[in-house]
Amino acid sequence: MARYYYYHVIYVGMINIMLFVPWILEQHRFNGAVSAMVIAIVFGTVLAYVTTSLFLRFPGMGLADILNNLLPRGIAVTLNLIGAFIWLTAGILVIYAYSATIQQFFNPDMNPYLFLLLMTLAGVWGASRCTRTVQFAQEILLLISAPLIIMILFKAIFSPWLDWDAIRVAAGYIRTPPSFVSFCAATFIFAGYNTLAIYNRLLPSGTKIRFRWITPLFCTFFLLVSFFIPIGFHGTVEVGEFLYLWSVTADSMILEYGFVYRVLYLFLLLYTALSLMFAMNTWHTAMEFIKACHPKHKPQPEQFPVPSSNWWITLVFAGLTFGYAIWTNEQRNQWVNENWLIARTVTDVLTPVILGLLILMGVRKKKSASSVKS
Amino acid sequence: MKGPRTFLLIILISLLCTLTGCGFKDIDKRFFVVAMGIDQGSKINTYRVTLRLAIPSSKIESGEAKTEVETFEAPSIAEAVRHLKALVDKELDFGHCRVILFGKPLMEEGVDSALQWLSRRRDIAMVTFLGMAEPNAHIVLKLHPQSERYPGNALFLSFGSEGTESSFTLTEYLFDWARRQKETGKDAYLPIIRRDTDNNSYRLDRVAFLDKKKLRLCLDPAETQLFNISAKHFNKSFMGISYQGTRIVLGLTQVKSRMSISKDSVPVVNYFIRATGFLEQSPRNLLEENPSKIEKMLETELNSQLQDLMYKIRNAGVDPYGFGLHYLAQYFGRAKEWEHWKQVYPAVTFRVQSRIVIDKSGLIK
Repeated sequence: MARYYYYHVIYVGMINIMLFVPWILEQHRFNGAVSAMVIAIVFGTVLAYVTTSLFLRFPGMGLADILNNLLPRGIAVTLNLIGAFIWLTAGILVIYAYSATIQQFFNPDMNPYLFLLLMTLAGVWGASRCTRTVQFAQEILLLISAPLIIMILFKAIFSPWLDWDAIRVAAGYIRTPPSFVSFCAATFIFAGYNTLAIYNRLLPSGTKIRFRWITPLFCTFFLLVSFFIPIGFHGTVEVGEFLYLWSVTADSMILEYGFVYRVLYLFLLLYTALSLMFAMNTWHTAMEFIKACHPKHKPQPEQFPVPSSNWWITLVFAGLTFGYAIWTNEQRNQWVNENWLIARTVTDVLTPVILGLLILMGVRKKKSASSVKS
Repeated sequence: MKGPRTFLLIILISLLCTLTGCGFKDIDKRFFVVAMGIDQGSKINTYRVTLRLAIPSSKIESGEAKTEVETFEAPSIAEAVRHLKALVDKELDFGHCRVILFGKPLMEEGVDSALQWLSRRRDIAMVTFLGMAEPNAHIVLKLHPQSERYPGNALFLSFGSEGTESSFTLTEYLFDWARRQKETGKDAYLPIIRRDTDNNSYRLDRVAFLDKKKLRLCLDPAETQLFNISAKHFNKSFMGISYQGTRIVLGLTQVKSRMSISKDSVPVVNYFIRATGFLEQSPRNLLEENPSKIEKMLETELNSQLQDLMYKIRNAGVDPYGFGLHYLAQYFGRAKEWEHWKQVYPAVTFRVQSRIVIDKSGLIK
């Protein structure tokens, strides 16, 4: 079952492009992005390892269930709502960023809300399924899109037009003190393990997640690629000027004998699948967090047909997405993105801390109980 | 369960209302721009934009491809293009624009931010070929070669590696040009495109070097090929020398190079190049006699030619090889090193060391 865990790790590593992670990193390329990335690699790996191990101590329980069982109700509900908010925002940001990109590159004359509507509808439908279905859908989508995305990445790496001198110059800025925002942005790439917050429900007791080196290996690869490849294609100076950085980078490659000449269109198509998958996953997780706030909630990861509450909650999410799209513009969206990445890093650290405390408390209780008995 | 399903159905049906084909225009109501030319206008600070538009036809035959050339002058490229829309009957579509040419007078005058239009437009591919047209873009775009099967394809088959692959023709993409315009220690180049003397084809055998502002140097065909071999590692090229009254021509199959720049107060650029090739033309039994002697001769020839070229480029004040960038990369330099490099670049010395390997003599001895 460990493979489902790695699907999450891998697609979260790839979706960073839609959350402006490369853009934020490039903005700080001369003042601390590279050193922040190095720290983020170590930090992300350790955090992934610790959090995963802690979750495996609670077989068959999501984060929401753990909190509900072991903490006073008020605190548990608050934490669940914070979790739901963070996950929901992730989905909204990706859907908005993707529909903005599509509008920009496919048809600028199109009504921007039309594509948003299509994306949110697909997101609503996907997210309102039961956990097991979402997991299977993820496997299928990832297996379809990941090979082609990785092909594009390798095509970029081996392109003769990639300027390794520029990459080396940018890497030389490792000596600058790290910047906090780029650190938060870079750790996001390692955040795939967080999906255990809900999907841990599906892991039976006694599950071992082997091959843990996959997380640092793949995520470091994705981090380095999404930062350095645009520099290699657009130079150390020009790279800071592009808004849709990776779309433009994909556009700098050609498939001479492919069906489509511009790699851009293939790239955007693949990211449709990936963005939908991400929205489906995050909204589903947010939905489960919200459902867990109900006092009589019982987690049911395999359920058919799904209860109508699933529909209503995700429809509210869709409404919020529209609200966000109406409120936001490019500057606001970037501001929200940056702050979301920072907030996410904080909750990322909080999760293992809370879990660790709960385990310690549990151990102490058991000890005191046994000492009373004797 | 019934509620949500009806709800979804209502949404899906209401979606139908949006299918009015709002933004999309049919393909027969579009004019595909296959090439674009940007020239200096007749007045100061104006641009003359020339578009070559493909006229769709059912016949695919050489020489039958029809195109229309439209041109307009305006204070900026964006305005010119917008105004050009009033001169045609169909919607302009830049999605298939594969070549953009700049007129030579424009480049001599200097390119300014008006050309940012190219990077800003989302429908202009970053892999569009760029070139400098001589005497100007309008005249080159007016040419209608007989060999054209699809509208404009003679123009873009000449670039890249799809059609002809000539060692005299350099290829420059929009993204590369945009980055070279901004990059520290690396300057832009543009292949020069002219009408051939018979007025039936294009001629692309020279290259122009620009600094961040304007045109600085144009190379002749032999130097262009040398630049293509050394800077771009172009494989399908050749080298020729005279030997005992005959000519020896070496066809190159593999070129590798690397450079190393010393950190003296006035840096020395050591350029190592290794080329492997086969004999295309030579006297009989040459390789049996003394191959290493021929290799030595070719090496000396290449060393001196390449050094001359590098000094010529340096004296023109441009850096298309990216020596400056490599200097920064080699020593992980920053602003201070860059300032230093800019000061000493006019005085740097070049040392070229080449290694030539003749591995085959062709089919005969």
